[in-house]
Amino acid sequence: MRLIVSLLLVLLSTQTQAGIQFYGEARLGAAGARHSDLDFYSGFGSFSAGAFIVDNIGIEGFIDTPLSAGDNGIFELGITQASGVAVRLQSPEQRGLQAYVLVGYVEYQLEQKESGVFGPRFIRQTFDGIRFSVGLNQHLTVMRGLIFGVEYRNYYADSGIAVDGVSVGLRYEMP
Amino acid sequence: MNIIKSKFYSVSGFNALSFGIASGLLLSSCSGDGRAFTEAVEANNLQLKTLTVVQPAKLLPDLVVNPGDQFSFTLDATNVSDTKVTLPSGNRRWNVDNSAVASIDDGGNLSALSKGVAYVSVAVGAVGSQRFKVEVREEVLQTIDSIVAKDIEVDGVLERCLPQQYRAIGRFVAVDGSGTSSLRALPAAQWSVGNKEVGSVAKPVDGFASVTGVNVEPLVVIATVDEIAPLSRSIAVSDTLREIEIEPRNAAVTLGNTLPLLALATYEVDGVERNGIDITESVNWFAEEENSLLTVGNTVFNKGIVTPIATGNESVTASCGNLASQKTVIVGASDTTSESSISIRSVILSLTINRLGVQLQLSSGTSFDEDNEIESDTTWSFIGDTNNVATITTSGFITPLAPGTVTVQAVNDGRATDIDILVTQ
Repeated sequence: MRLIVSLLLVLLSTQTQAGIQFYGEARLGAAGARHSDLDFYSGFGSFSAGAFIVDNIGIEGFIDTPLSAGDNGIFELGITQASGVAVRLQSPEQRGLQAYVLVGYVEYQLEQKESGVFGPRFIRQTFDGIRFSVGLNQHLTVMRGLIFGVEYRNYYADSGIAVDGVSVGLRYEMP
Repeated sequence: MNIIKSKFYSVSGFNALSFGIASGLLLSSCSGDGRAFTEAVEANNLQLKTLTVVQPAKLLPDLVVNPGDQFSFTLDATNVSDTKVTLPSGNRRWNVDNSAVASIDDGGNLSALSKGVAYVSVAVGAVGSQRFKVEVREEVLQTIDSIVAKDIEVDGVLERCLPQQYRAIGRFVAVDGSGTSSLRALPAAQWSVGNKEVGSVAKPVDGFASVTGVNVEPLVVIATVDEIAPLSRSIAVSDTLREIEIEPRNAAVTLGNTLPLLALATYEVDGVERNGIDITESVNWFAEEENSLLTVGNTVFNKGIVTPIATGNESVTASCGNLASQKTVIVGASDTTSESSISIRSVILSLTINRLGVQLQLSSGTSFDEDNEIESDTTWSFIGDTNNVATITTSGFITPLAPGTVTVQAVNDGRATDIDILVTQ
Protein backbone atom coordinates (compact mmCIF):
# COMPACT_ATOMS: atom_id res chain seq x y z
CA MET A 1 0.00 0.00 0.00
CA ARG A 2 2.80 2.35 0.94
CA LEU A 3 4.49 1.50 -2.31
CA ILE A 4 1.40 2.34 -4.34
CA VAL A 5 0.93 5.63 -2.51
CA SER A 6 4.61 6.44 -3.04
CA LEU A 7 4.42 5.85 -6.76
CA LEU A 8 1.21 7.81 -7.13
CA LEU A 9 2.81 10.74 -5.35
CA VAL A 10 5.87 10.50 -7.56
CA LEU A 11 3.67 10.47 -10.64
CA LEU A 12 1.68 13.45 -9.37
CA SER A 13 4.83 15.32 -8.51
CA THR A 14 6.25 14.95 -12.00
CA GLN A 15 3.18 15.93 -14.01
CA THR A 16 3.19 13.35 -16.73
CA GLN A 17 3.64 14.76 -20.19
CA ALA A 18 3.01 13.40 -23.65
CA GLY A 19 5.78 11.59 -25.53
CA ILE A 20 6.56 8.72 -23.21
CA GLN A 21 9.75 6.88 -24.15
CA PHE A 22 10.13 3.22 -23.15
CA TYR A 23 13.35 1.42 -22.40
CA GLY A 24 14.68 -1.95 -21.31
CA GLU A 25 17.92 -3.00 -19.70
CA ALA A 26 19.90 -6.16 -18.85
CA ARG A 27 22.80 -6.20 -16.41
CA LEU A 28 25.39 -8.54 -15.00
CA GLY A 29 26.98 -7.79 -11.67
CA ALA A 30 28.67 -8.78 -8.46
CA ALA A 31 26.80 -8.30 -5.19
CA GLY A 32 28.24 -8.03 -1.74
CA ALA A 33 26.55 -8.80 1.56
CA ARG A 34 28.12 -8.14 4.93
CA HIS A 35 27.20 -9.01 8.51
CA SER A 36 29.01 -10.20 11.63
CA ASP A 37 32.31 -9.10 10.07
CA LEU A 38 31.77 -11.63 7.30
CA ASP A 39 31.73 -10.71 3.60
CA PHE A 40 29.92 -12.65 0.92
CA TYR A 41 30.28 -11.98 -2.80
CA SER A 42 27.83 -13.38 -5.30
CA GLY A 43 26.87 -12.91 -8.93
CA PHE A 44 23.55 -11.66 -10.19
CA GLY A 45 21.67 -10.67 -13.27
CA SER A 46 19.23 -7.78 -13.35
CA PHE A 47 16.50 -6.88 -15.79
CA SER A 48 14.49 -3.69 -15.87
CA ALA A 49 11.91 -2.00 -18.03
CA GLY A 50 10.50 1.46 -17.75
CA ALA A 51 9.50 4.68 -19.36
CA PHE A 52 10.62 8.26 -19.30
CA ILE A 53 7.53 10.20 -18.31
CA VAL A 54 9.29 13.54 -18.74
CA ASP A 55 12.71 14.36 -20.08
CA ASN A 56 15.31 12.36 -18.15
CA ILE A 57 12.89 11.27 -15.45
CA GLY A 58 11.66 7.75 -15.71
CA ILE A 59 9.85 5.12 -13.73
CA GLU A 60 10.92 1.54 -14.02
CA GLY A 61 10.42 -1.93 -12.61
CA PHE A 62 13.29 -4.31 -12.08
CA ILE A 63 13.94 -7.90 -11.13
CA ASP A 64 17.21 -9.56 -10.07
CA THR A 65 18.10 -13.18 -10.40
CA PRO A 66 20.99 -14.95 -8.64
CA LEU A 67 23.84 -16.40 -10.64
CA SER A 68 25.98 -17.59 -7.72
CA ALA A 69 26.10 -17.38 -3.90
CA GLY A 70 28.89 -16.07 -1.71
CA ASP A 71 30.79 -18.69 0.26
CA ASN A 72 33.20 -18.05 3.12
CA GLY A 73 33.93 -21.68 3.92
CA ILE A 74 31.36 -22.00 6.69
CA PHE A 75 28.39 -20.08 5.40
CA GLU A 76 26.98 -19.55 1.96
CA LEU A 77 24.88 -16.44 1.50
CA GLY A 78 23.14 -15.10 -1.55
CA ILE A 79 20.30 -12.90 -2.74
CA THR A 80 17.83 -15.45 -4.02
CA GLN A 81 15.53 -12.88 -5.57
CA ALA A 82 14.92 -9.17 -5.69
CA SER A 83 12.41 -6.96 -7.37
CA GLY A 84 11.02 -3.48 -7.10
CA VAL A 85 10.25 -0.17 -8.70
CA ALA A 86 12.33 2.97 -8.90
CA VAL A 87 12.44 6.51 -10.20
CA ARG A 88 15.29 7.27 -12.57
CA LEU A 89 16.75 10.77 -12.68
CA GLN A 90 19.43 11.29 -15.27
CA SER A 91 21.47 14.14 -16.59
CA PRO A 92 21.20 15.49 -20.13
CA GLU A 93 23.42 13.72 -22.60
CA GLN A 94 26.91 15.18 -22.99
CA ARG A 95 28.91 13.58 -25.81
CA GLY A 96 26.81 10.46 -25.41
CA LEU A 97 27.51 10.23 -21.69
CA GLN A 98 24.85 10.46 -18.99
CA ALA A 99 24.96 10.20 -15.22
CA TYR A 100 21.96 8.95 -13.32
CA VAL A 101 20.60 8.12 -9.92
CA LEU A 102 17.88 5.63 -9.15
CA VAL A 103 15.78 5.72 -6.00
CA GLY A 104 13.05 3.25 -5.33
CA TYR A 105 11.54 0.42 -3.42
CA VAL A 106 13.03 -3.08 -3.35
CA GLU A 107 11.93 -6.36 -1.87
CA TYR A 108 14.70 -8.92 -1.69
CA GLN A 109 15.26 -12.31 -0.17
CA LEU A 110 18.48 -13.48 1.45
CA GLU A 111 19.32 -17.10 2.05
CA GLN A 112 22.15 -18.28 4.26
CA LYS A 113 23.18 -21.92 4.34
CA GLU A 114 25.46 -23.58 6.84
CA SER A 115 27.01 -27.00 6.76
CA GLY A 116 28.21 -28.33 10.08
CA VAL A 117 28.08 -31.15 12.59
CA PHE A 118 24.31 -30.79 12.85
CA GLY A 119 23.76 -31.15 9.12
CA PRO A 120 22.66 -28.39 6.80
CA ARG A 121 20.90 -25.42 8.36
CA PHE A 122 19.55 -22.51 6.47
CA ILE A 123 17.84 -19.19 7.02
CA ARG A 124 15.74 -17.50 4.39
CA GLN A 125 14.22 -14.10 4.95
CA THR A 126 12.58 -11.35 2.95
CA PHE A 127 13.43 -7.71 3.44
CA ASP A 128 11.75 -4.51 2.24
CA GLY A 129 13.85 -1.46 1.70
CA ILE A 130 15.15 1.28 -0.50
CA ARG A 131 17.13 0.81 -3.66
CA PHE A 132 19.63 3.54 -4.37
CA SER A 133 21.83 3.46 -7.45
CA VAL A 134 24.28 5.77 -9.17
CA GLY A 135 25.73 5.11 -12.57
CA LEU A 136 27.06 6.27 -15.88
CA ASN A 137 25.64 5.47 -19.32
CA GLN A 138 27.43 5.78 -22.61
CA HIS A 139 25.40 5.85 -25.84
CA LEU A 140 26.89 3.48 -28.38
CA THR A 141 27.26 4.39 -31.99
CA VAL A 142 26.92 0.84 -33.23
CA MET A 143 23.17 1.01 -32.90
CA ARG A 144 20.81 3.87 -32.26
CA GLY A 145 19.26 3.66 -28.76
CA LEU A 146 21.82 1.16 -27.46
CA ILE A 147 23.57 2.24 -24.28
CA PHE A 148 26.35 0.72 -22.18
CA GLY A 149 26.37 1.48 -18.47
CA VAL A 150 28.12 0.86 -15.17
CA GLU A 151 26.30 1.15 -11.88
CA TYR A 152 26.67 0.92 -8.12
CA ARG A 153 23.53 -0.05 -6.20
CA ASN A 154 22.64 -0.39 -2.54
CA TYR A 155 19.64 -2.16 -1.03
CA TYR A 156 18.97 -0.63 2.37
CA ALA A 157 16.48 -2.31 4.71
CA ASP A 158 17.75 -1.27 8.15
CA SER A 159 18.35 -4.93 8.88
CA GLY A 160 21.94 -4.89 10.03
CA ILE A 161 23.00 -6.61 6.80
CA ALA A 162 24.66 -4.43 4.18
CA VAL A 163 23.74 -5.39 0.62
CA ASP A 164 25.19 -3.68 -2.42
CA GLY A 165 26.68 -4.43 -5.79
CA VAL A 166 28.30 -3.22 -8.97
CA SER A 167 27.16 -4.15 -12.43
CA VAL A 168 27.58 -3.49 -16.11
CA GLY A 169 24.73 -3.56 -18.58
CA LEU A 170 23.21 -2.76 -21.88
CA ARG A 171 20.00 -0.82 -22.29
CA TYR A 172 17.90 -0.01 -25.22
CA GLU A 173 15.81 3.13 -25.44
CA MET A 174 13.06 3.16 -27.99
CA PRO A 175 13.12 6.14 -30.30
CA MET B 1 25.42 16.82 -10.09
CA ASN B 2 24.46 20.43 -10.73
CA ILE B 3 23.22 19.40 -14.14
CA ILE B 4 20.93 16.84 -12.61
CA LYS B 5 19.78 19.31 -10.00
CA SER B 6 18.92 22.07 -12.49
CA LYS B 7 16.97 19.74 -14.72
CA PHE B 8 15.26 18.17 -11.79
CA TYR B 9 13.89 21.44 -10.50
CA SER B 10 13.07 22.71 -13.95
CA VAL B 11 10.33 20.10 -14.37
CA SER B 12 7.12 21.97 -14.87
CA GLY B 13 4.76 21.72 -11.93
CA PHE B 14 7.11 19.65 -9.83
CA ASN B 15 5.72 19.37 -6.36
CA ALA B 16 8.53 19.15 -3.84
CA LEU B 17 6.14 18.38 -1.02
CA SER B 18 4.70 15.37 -2.81
CA PHE B 19 8.15 14.09 -3.60
CA GLY B 20 9.20 14.55 0.02
CA ILE B 21 6.20 12.60 1.24
CA ALA B 22 6.97 9.86 -1.25
CA SER B 23 10.53 9.63 -0.01
CA GLY B 24 9.34 9.43 3.57
CA LEU B 25 6.97 6.61 2.71
CA LEU B 26 9.75 4.75 0.96
CA LEU B 27 11.97 5.09 4.01
CA SER B 28 9.20 3.91 6.31
CA SER B 29 8.70 0.88 4.09
CA CYS B 30 12.09 -0.47 5.22
CA SER B 31 11.54 -3.62 7.19
CA GLY B 32 13.58 -6.66 7.89
CA ASP B 33 15.19 -8.26 10.87
CA GLY B 34 18.65 -9.49 10.01
CA ARG B 35 19.33 -10.96 13.44
CA ALA B 36 18.74 -14.51 12.26
CA PHE B 37 21.79 -14.19 10.02
CA THR B 38 24.08 -12.80 12.67
CA GLU B 39 22.74 -15.26 15.24
CA ALA B 40 23.64 -18.10 12.90
CA VAL B 41 27.26 -17.04 13.17
CA GLU B 42 26.93 -16.85 16.96
CA ALA B 43 25.32 -20.31 17.02
CA ASN B 44 28.09 -21.70 14.85
CA ASN B 45 30.78 -20.25 17.11
CA LEU B 46 29.10 -21.82 20.14
CA GLN B 47 28.38 -25.09 18.33
CA LEU B 48 24.83 -24.56 19.51
CA LYS B 49 22.71 -27.70 19.54
CA THR B 50 19.55 -27.09 21.56
CA LEU B 51 17.54 -24.21 22.99
CA THR B 52 15.08 -24.47 25.85
CA VAL B 53 12.57 -21.88 26.99
CA VAL B 54 12.80 -21.52 30.77
CA GLN B 55 9.91 -20.13 32.74
CA PRO B 56 10.54 -17.84 35.74
CA ALA B 57 11.82 -19.92 38.65
CA LYS B 58 9.16 -18.47 40.89
CA LEU B 59 6.36 -19.97 38.76
CA LEU B 60 5.33 -23.56 38.16
CA PRO B 61 6.24 -25.26 34.87
CA ASP B 62 2.54 -25.76 34.13
CA LEU B 63 2.19 -22.07 33.62
CA VAL B 64 -1.25 -20.60 34.26
CA VAL B 65 -1.54 -16.83 34.60
CA ASN B 66 -4.17 -14.11 34.59
CA PRO B 67 -4.67 -11.47 31.88
CA GLY B 68 -2.41 -8.54 32.75
CA ASP B 69 0.28 -10.68 34.34
CA GLN B 70 3.80 -10.00 33.13
CA PHE B 71 6.93 -12.07 33.58
CA SER B 72 10.17 -12.90 31.84
CA PHE B 73 11.35 -16.02 30.12
CA THR B 74 15.00 -16.95 29.79
CA LEU B 75 16.68 -19.53 27.63
CA ASP B 76 18.98 -22.46 28.27
CA ALA B 77 21.28 -23.75 25.58
CA THR B 78 23.53 -26.73 25.04
CA ASN B 79 26.32 -27.31 22.55
CA VAL B 80 27.39 -30.28 20.50
CA SER B 81 28.98 -31.83 23.62
CA ASP B 82 25.66 -31.49 25.46
CA THR B 83 27.36 -28.96 27.72
CA LYS B 84 25.36 -25.98 28.89
CA VAL B 85 26.45 -22.77 27.21
CA THR B 86 25.76 -19.24 28.35
CA LEU B 87 23.54 -17.36 25.97
CA PRO B 88 21.99 -13.99 26.85
CA SER B 89 18.19 -14.06 26.73
CA GLY B 90 17.86 -10.42 25.66
CA ASN B 91 17.60 -9.15 22.09
CA ARG B 92 16.37 -12.49 20.83
CA ARG B 93 13.63 -13.49 18.42
CA TRP B 94 11.01 -14.54 20.96
CA ASN B 95 7.66 -15.50 19.59
CA VAL B 96 4.14 -16.31 20.77
CA ASP B 97 1.91 -18.15 18.38
CA ASN B 98 -1.27 -16.43 19.50
CA SER B 99 -0.91 -12.67 19.69
CA ALA B 100 -4.47 -12.29 20.99
CA VAL B 101 -3.59 -14.25 24.12
CA ALA B 102 -0.11 -12.91 24.88
CA SER B 103 2.66 -10.72 23.56
CA ILE B 104 6.37 -11.05 24.07
CA ASP B 105 9.22 -8.64 23.42
CA ASP B 106 12.83 -9.20 22.38
CA GLY B 107 13.86 -9.56 26.03
CA GLY B 108 11.52 -12.52 26.60
CA ASN B 109 9.13 -10.38 28.64
CA LEU B 110 5.65 -11.79 28.22
CA SER B 111 2.39 -9.95 28.82
CA ALA B 112 -0.75 -12.03 29.17
CA LEU B 113 -3.53 -10.29 27.28
CA SER B 114 -6.69 -12.39 27.25
CA LYS B 115 -7.98 -15.85 28.05
CA GLY B 116 -6.64 -18.66 25.93
CA VAL B 117 -3.56 -20.73 25.26
CA ALA B 118 -0.37 -19.49 23.65
CA TYR B 119 2.93 -21.17 22.97
CA VAL B 120 6.22 -19.37 23.46
CA SER B 121 9.32 -20.19 21.45
CA VAL B 122 12.66 -18.60 20.70
CA ALA B 123 15.17 -18.99 17.90
CA VAL B 124 18.87 -18.27 17.61
CA GLY B 125 19.93 -18.43 14.01
CA ALA B 126 18.44 -21.58 12.58
CA VAL B 127 18.20 -23.26 16.01
CA GLY B 128 14.72 -23.16 17.45
CA SER B 129 13.39 -24.12 20.86
CA GLN B 130 10.56 -26.39 21.83
CA ARG B 131 7.31 -24.54 22.41
CA PHE B 132 6.41 -23.61 25.96
CA LYS B 133 2.73 -23.60 26.84
CA VAL B 134 1.19 -20.63 28.63
CA GLU B 135 -2.43 -20.75 29.68
CA VAL B 136 -4.20 -17.50 30.46
CA ARG B 137 -7.24 -17.75 32.72
CA GLU B 138 -9.29 -15.20 34.62
CA GLU B 139 -9.06 -16.69 38.11
CA VAL B 140 -8.69 -15.72 41.75
CA LEU B 141 -6.85 -17.40 44.60
CA GLN B 142 -9.17 -19.63 46.60
CA THR B 143 -6.88 -21.48 49.03
CA ILE B 144 -3.23 -22.06 49.77
CA ASP B 145 -3.03 -25.65 48.65
CA SER B 146 0.39 -26.85 49.76
CA ILE B 147 3.91 -26.04 50.91
CA VAL B 148 6.50 -28.05 49.01
CA ALA B 149 10.27 -28.31 48.85
CA LYS B 150 12.20 -27.25 45.77
CA ASP B 151 14.13 -30.50 46.00
CA ILE B 152 11.36 -33.06 46.20
CA GLU B 153 13.73 -35.73 47.54
CA VAL B 154 14.18 -33.92 50.83
CA ASP B 155 10.62 -32.69 51.11
CA GLY B 156 9.45 -32.80 54.72
CA VAL B 157 12.84 -33.37 56.36
CA LEU B 158 15.46 -30.84 57.38
CA GLU B 159 18.97 -31.41 58.66
CA ARG B 160 20.01 -29.01 61.35
CA CYS B 161 21.50 -25.82 59.98
CA LEU B 162 21.19 -26.98 56.37
CA PRO B 163 18.57 -24.68 54.79
CA GLN B 164 16.08 -26.04 52.29
CA GLN B 165 13.99 -24.08 49.78
CA TYR B 166 10.21 -24.25 50.10
CA ARG B 167 7.39 -22.54 48.28
CA ALA B 168 3.66 -22.19 48.62
CA ILE B 169 1.25 -23.32 45.94
CA GLY B 170 -2.26 -21.92 45.66
CA ARG B 171 -5.46 -23.18 44.09
CA PHE B 172 -7.09 -20.68 41.75
CA VAL B 173 -10.69 -20.80 40.56
CA ALA B 174 -12.79 -18.81 38.13
CA VAL B 175 -14.49 -15.77 39.65
CA ASP B 176 -17.91 -17.33 39.12
CA GLY B 177 -16.71 -20.70 40.39
CA SER B 178 -17.21 -22.38 37.04
CA GLY B 179 -14.81 -24.70 35.28
CA THR B 180 -11.73 -26.42 36.60
CA SER B 181 -9.26 -24.89 39.02
CA SER B 182 -5.55 -24.38 38.49
CA LEU B 183 -2.50 -24.64 40.73
CA ARG B 184 -0.06 -21.76 40.73
CA ALA B 185 3.02 -20.83 42.72
CA LEU B 186 2.58 -18.04 45.25
CA PRO B 187 5.84 -16.05 45.13
CA ALA B 188 4.29 -13.22 47.12
CA ALA B 189 3.43 -15.41 50.11
CA GLN B 190 4.52 -14.21 53.55
CA TRP B 191 6.39 -16.72 55.66
CA SER B 192 6.79 -17.34 59.37
CA VAL B 193 7.50 -20.19 61.77
CA GLY B 194 5.30 -21.32 64.62
CA ASN B 195 8.16 -22.31 66.95
CA LYS B 196 11.16 -19.99 66.68
CA GLU B 197 13.30 -22.08 69.01
CA VAL B 198 13.26 -24.87 66.44
CA GLY B 199 14.10 -22.93 63.32
CA SER B 200 13.56 -19.96 61.08
CA VAL B 201 12.44 -18.98 57.62
CA ALA B 202 13.99 -16.26 55.49
CA LYS B 203 12.28 -13.87 53.12
CA PRO B 204 11.64 -15.63 49.78
CA VAL B 205 14.00 -15.20 46.86
CA ASP B 206 12.54 -16.01 43.44
CA GLY B 207 9.48 -17.39 45.18
CA PHE B 208 11.38 -19.80 47.42
CA ALA B 209 11.70 -19.32 51.17
CA SER B 210 14.79 -20.66 52.86
CA VAL B 211 13.77 -22.81 55.86
CA THR B 212 16.36 -23.73 58.49
CA GLY B 213 15.91 -26.03 61.45
CA VAL B 214 18.26 -25.79 64.40
CA ASN B 215 16.84 -28.16 67.01
CA VAL B 216 15.52 -31.70 66.68
CA GLU B 217 11.79 -31.10 66.75
CA PRO B 218 9.13 -30.63 64.09
CA LEU B 219 9.39 -27.12 62.67
CA VAL B 220 6.09 -25.47 61.84
CA VAL B 221 6.28 -23.16 58.81
CA ILE B 222 3.36 -20.93 57.91
CA ALA B 223 2.54 -19.36 54.54
CA THR B 224 0.12 -16.44 54.34
CA VAL B 225 -1.34 -14.56 51.37
CA ASP B 226 -3.51 -11.52 52.06
CA GLU B 227 -6.93 -12.48 53.42
CA ILE B 228 -6.66 -16.14 52.45
CA ALA B 229 -6.53 -18.62 55.33
CA PRO B 230 -2.88 -19.34 56.19
CA LEU B 231 -1.47 -22.80 55.64
CA SER B 232 0.98 -24.40 58.06
CA ARG B 233 3.14 -27.41 57.59
CA SER B 234 5.23 -29.38 60.03
CA ILE B 235 8.70 -30.27 58.79
CA ALA B 236 10.81 -32.78 60.71
CA VAL B 237 14.30 -31.70 61.79
CA SER B 238 16.51 -34.77 61.85
CA ASP B 239 19.23 -35.45 64.38
CA THR B 240 22.11 -35.89 61.96
CA LEU B 241 24.39 -33.01 62.95
CA ARG B 242 27.27 -34.47 64.94
CA GLU B 243 29.85 -31.71 65.28
CA ILE B 244 30.62 -28.12 64.42
CA GLU B 245 34.21 -27.09 63.91
CA ILE B 246 35.34 -23.50 63.58
CA GLU B 247 38.11 -22.83 61.10
CA PRO B 248 40.89 -21.82 60.88
CA ARG B 249 42.31 -24.02 63.57
CA ASN B 250 44.61 -21.26 64.78
CA ALA B 251 42.51 -18.16 64.59
CA ALA B 252 44.59 -15.00 64.79
CA VAL B 253 43.95 -11.54 63.51
CA THR B 254 45.73 -8.23 63.81
CA LEU B 255 44.18 -4.88 64.51
CA GLY B 256 43.01 -3.18 61.35
CA ASN B 257 42.23 -6.48 59.63
CA THR B 258 39.28 -8.84 59.72
CA LEU B 259 39.22 -12.59 60.05
CA PRO B 260 36.52 -14.68 58.39
CA LEU B 261 35.67 -17.73 60.43
CA LEU B 262 34.08 -20.79 58.91
CA ALA B 263 31.70 -23.17 60.64
CA LEU B 264 32.22 -26.61 59.18
CA ALA B 265 29.86 -29.37 60.19
CA THR B 266 29.95 -33.13 60.32
CA TYR B 267 26.71 -34.97 59.57
CA GLU B 268 25.98 -38.65 59.89
CA VAL B 269 23.11 -40.47 58.23
CA ASP B 270 22.80 -44.27 58.51
CA GLY B 271 26.44 -44.58 59.50
CA VAL B 272 27.65 -42.50 56.56
CA GLU B 273 29.58 -39.40 57.62
CA ARG B 274 29.85 -36.16 55.66
CA ASN B 275 32.61 -33.81 56.77
CA GLY B 276 33.41 -30.20 56.14
CA ILE B 277 29.89 -29.05 55.29
CA ASP B 278 29.96 -25.28 55.36
CA ILE B 279 27.17 -24.00 57.61
CA THR B 280 28.75 -20.60 58.31
CA GLU B 281 25.66 -18.77 57.10
CA SER B 282 23.24 -20.87 59.16
CA VAL B 283 24.79 -20.90 62.60
CA ASN B 284 24.43 -18.25 65.26
CA TRP B 285 27.70 -16.41 65.87
CA PHE B 286 28.55 -14.55 69.04
CA ALA B 287 31.56 -13.54 71.07
CA GLU B 288 31.99 -14.36 74.71
CA GLU B 289 32.05 -10.69 75.54
CA GLU B 290 30.77 -8.81 72.50
CA ASN B 291 32.40 -5.42 71.77
CA SER B 292 35.15 -6.06 74.29
CA LEU B 293 38.13 -7.27 72.23
CA LEU B 294 36.30 -8.07 69.04
CA THR B 295 32.95 -8.31 67.30
CA VAL B 296 31.76 -11.20 65.18
CA GLY B 297 29.24 -10.76 62.39
CA ASN B 298 25.92 -12.55 62.68
CA THR B 299 23.90 -11.10 59.83
CA VAL B 300 23.61 -12.04 56.17
CA PHE B 301 26.85 -11.39 54.26
CA ASN B 302 28.99 -10.93 57.37
CA LYS B 303 28.38 -14.14 59.27
CA GLY B 304 31.53 -15.21 61.10
CA ILE B 305 33.57 -12.14 60.18
CA VAL B 306 35.69 -11.16 63.16
CA THR B 307 36.58 -7.51 63.56
CA PRO B 308 39.16 -6.90 66.30
CA ILE B 309 38.88 -3.96 68.65
CA ALA B 310 41.78 -4.50 71.04
CA THR B 311 44.61 -7.00 71.48
CA GLY B 312 44.07 -10.13 73.55
CA ASN B 313 42.25 -13.45 73.43
CA GLU B 314 38.49 -13.81 73.04
CA SER B 315 36.19 -16.80 72.60
CA VAL B 316 33.86 -16.92 69.62
CA THR B 317 30.96 -19.37 69.48
CA ALA B 318 29.07 -20.84 66.55
CA SER B 319 25.87 -22.58 67.56
CA CYS B 320 23.15 -24.49 65.81
CA GLY B 321 20.38 -24.75 68.33
CA ASN B 322 21.75 -26.55 71.35
CA LEU B 323 24.90 -27.73 69.59
CA ALA B 324 27.80 -25.27 69.70
CA SER B 325 31.49 -24.93 69.09
CA GLN B 326 33.94 -22.43 70.50
CA LYS B 327 37.18 -20.98 69.20
CA THR B 328 39.70 -18.67 70.82
CA VAL B 329 40.64 -15.82 68.53
CA ILE B 330 43.98 -14.14 69.14
CA VAL B 331 44.00 -10.42 68.41
CA GLY B 332 47.49 -9.08 67.83
CA ALA B 333 48.92 -5.67 67.09
CA SER B 334 49.18 -4.49 63.48
CA ASP B 335 51.99 -6.03 61.44
CA THR B 336 53.15 -6.01 57.86
CA THR B 337 52.22 -9.57 56.92
CA SER B 338 51.19 -9.72 53.30
CA GLU B 339 49.43 -12.42 51.35
CA SER B 340 52.02 -12.63 48.64
CA SER B 341 55.11 -13.33 50.65
CA ILE B 342 55.26 -14.60 54.21
CA SER B 343 58.30 -14.94 56.35
CA ILE B 344 58.35 -17.96 58.60
CA ARG B 345 58.98 -16.92 62.12
CA SER B 346 58.64 -18.69 65.38
CA VAL B 347 54.93 -17.92 65.69
CA ILE B 348 52.03 -19.73 64.07
CA LEU B 349 50.40 -17.68 61.34
CA SER B 350 46.96 -17.82 59.79
CA LEU B 351 46.43 -16.80 56.22
CA THR B 352 43.22 -16.31 54.27
CA ILE B 353 43.17 -16.54 50.53
CA ASN B 354 40.43 -16.53 47.97
CA ARG B 355 39.84 -19.71 46.00
CA LEU B 356 39.46 -18.00 42.66
CA GLY B 357 42.54 -17.76 40.51
CA VAL B 358 45.06 -17.28 43.26
CA GLN B 359 48.42 -18.88 43.45
CA LEU B 360 50.55 -18.12 46.42
CA GLN B 361 54.21 -18.65 47.03
CA LEU B 362 55.39 -19.00 50.54
CA SER B 363 58.85 -17.88 51.37
CA SER B 364 61.04 -18.86 54.25
CA GLY B 365 62.40 -15.38 54.26
CA THR B 366 65.41 -16.20 52.16
CA SER B 367 65.99 -14.52 48.82
CA PHE B 368 64.84 -15.44 45.31
CA ASP B 369 67.31 -15.95 42.49
CA GLU B 370 67.00 -14.54 38.95
CA ASP B 371 64.54 -17.25 37.98
CA ASN B 372 62.35 -16.37 40.89
CA GLU B 373 63.23 -19.63 42.63
CA ILE B 374 63.76 -19.78 46.33
CA GLU B 375 67.44 -20.15 46.96
CA SER B 376 67.17 -21.82 50.32
CA ASP B 377 66.63 -25.53 50.77
CA THR B 378 63.43 -25.12 52.73
CA THR B 379 60.85 -27.74 51.80
CA TRP B 380 57.12 -27.29 52.04
CA SER B 381 54.35 -29.83 52.50
CA PHE B 382 50.89 -30.27 53.92
CA ILE B 383 50.46 -31.99 57.22
CA GLY B 384 47.25 -33.78 58.00
CA ASP B 385 44.32 -34.32 55.67
CA THR B 386 44.09 -31.75 52.84
CA ASN B 387 40.53 -32.72 51.76
CA ASN B 388 41.49 -31.40 48.31
CA VAL B 389 41.45 -27.86 49.64
CA ALA B 390 44.73 -26.93 47.98
CA THR B 391 47.88 -28.25 46.41
CA ILE B 392 51.46 -27.28 47.23
CA THR B 393 54.81 -27.81 45.61
CA THR B 394 57.96 -28.51 47.59
CA SER B 395 59.15 -25.00 46.67
CA GLY B 396 56.11 -23.45 48.30
CA PHE B 397 53.62 -22.71 45.52
CA ILE B 398 50.10 -23.11 46.82
CA THR B 399 47.08 -23.41 44.53
CA PRO B 400 43.74 -23.21 46.35
CA LEU B 401 41.06 -25.58 45.06
CA ALA B 402 38.08 -25.45 47.41
CA PRO B 403 36.96 -23.73 50.62
CA GLY B 404 38.47 -25.24 53.74
CA THR B 405 41.59 -25.31 55.85
CA VAL B 406 44.97 -26.91 55.37
CA THR B 407 48.13 -26.74 57.40
CA VAL B 408 51.41 -26.14 55.66
CA GLN B 409 54.70 -27.14 57.23
CA ALA B 410 58.03 -25.62 56.24
CA VAL B 411 61.18 -27.55 57.17
CA ASN B 412 64.63 -26.00 57.07
CA ASP B 413 67.71 -27.45 58.67
CA GLY B 414 65.57 -29.71 60.76
CA ARG B 415 63.46 -26.85 62.05
CA ALA B 416 59.73 -26.96 61.24
CA THR B 417 57.08 -24.25 61.25
CA ASP B 418 53.35 -24.58 60.59
CA ILE B 419 50.97 -22.20 58.85
CA ASP B 420 47.23 -22.60 58.70
CA ILE B 421 45.77 -21.63 55.34
CA LEU B 422 42.09 -20.80 55.18
CA VAL B 423 40.64 -20.95 51.70
CA THR B 424 37.38 -19.09 51.24
CA GLN B 425 34.90 -19.12 48.40
